[in-house]
Amino acid sequence: MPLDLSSQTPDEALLVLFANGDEAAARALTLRLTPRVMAHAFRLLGNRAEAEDVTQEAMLKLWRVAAEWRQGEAKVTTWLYRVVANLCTDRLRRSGRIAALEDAGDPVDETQSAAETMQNRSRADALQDALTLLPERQRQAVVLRHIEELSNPEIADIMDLSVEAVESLIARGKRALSAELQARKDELGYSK
Amino acid sequence: MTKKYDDDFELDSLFEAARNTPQEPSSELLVAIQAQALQVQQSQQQNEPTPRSRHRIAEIFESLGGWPSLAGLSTAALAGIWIGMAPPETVALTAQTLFDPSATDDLFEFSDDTVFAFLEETF
Repeated sequence: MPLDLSSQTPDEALLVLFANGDEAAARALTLRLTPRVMAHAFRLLGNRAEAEDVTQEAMLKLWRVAAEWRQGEAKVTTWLYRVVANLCTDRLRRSGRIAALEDAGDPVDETQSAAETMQNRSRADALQDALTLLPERQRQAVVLRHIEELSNPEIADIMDLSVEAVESLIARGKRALSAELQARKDELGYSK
Repeated sequence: MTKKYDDDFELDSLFEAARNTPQEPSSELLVAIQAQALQVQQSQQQNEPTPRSRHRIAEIFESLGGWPSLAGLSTAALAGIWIGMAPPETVALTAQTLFDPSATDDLFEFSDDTVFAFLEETF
């Protein structure tokens, strides 16, 4: 009987199937998790080529840990966000710089008009510019809360902080973003 | 107050724009990651002992008392070997007394008379 590896199968169950040698689970996990890992790595690094390297490293770590994965201890995505953050931090510290924005491909969304797509892109780029200026931990907290849309307790778990510390990081991060983006209001289509 | 509302609103729409334009992985990256997955999967299936066999060995080890028991057993075995190779004087004397083949003295001496006397008293 073919296994149903639809989007309703939890990541943790797929990982157990993967560890038992199920190739369909390997495919399903690759297609489901790689885009999330890639998007998150890019938001933390601001560089597409580096984000791809980090994505590959993080996914390789996941495959290797699968055989020892203990169900119920952590969500796969929580574990991955933590691994991605650590890999990105290592890269940023090694190079001692804030990554430049380049090589950003333009994904096409057919439901949007060309003008909307352009505006979305320019707004997303402006936000990414401002994000890369934030201190690392503030950036990570803001991205996890407002782009990945995780709850504060989940973020606290990923970042190994208290919920109060996460709230404080997010508040400071958003204040800094507002201040940074204030000058670009007109350019981004917010003029009154 | 109005300013804060405006700032929050604008940030929210920027976050929304970022969510709507994620960096998608290239097809080459997806292929590479899936190939790595299958490679890791195959090597783990071929090289590692089955979880069941590892589990059984661990069960036997635990049933023997684990590491503390193994340490005690090793100490006792070493002490036995040492005493066998170089016995202390008291141990050698005791061993000679108890196990010397020429030492066959009975603890009680039974003559025919005492045996008959004992049987008569009993019956």
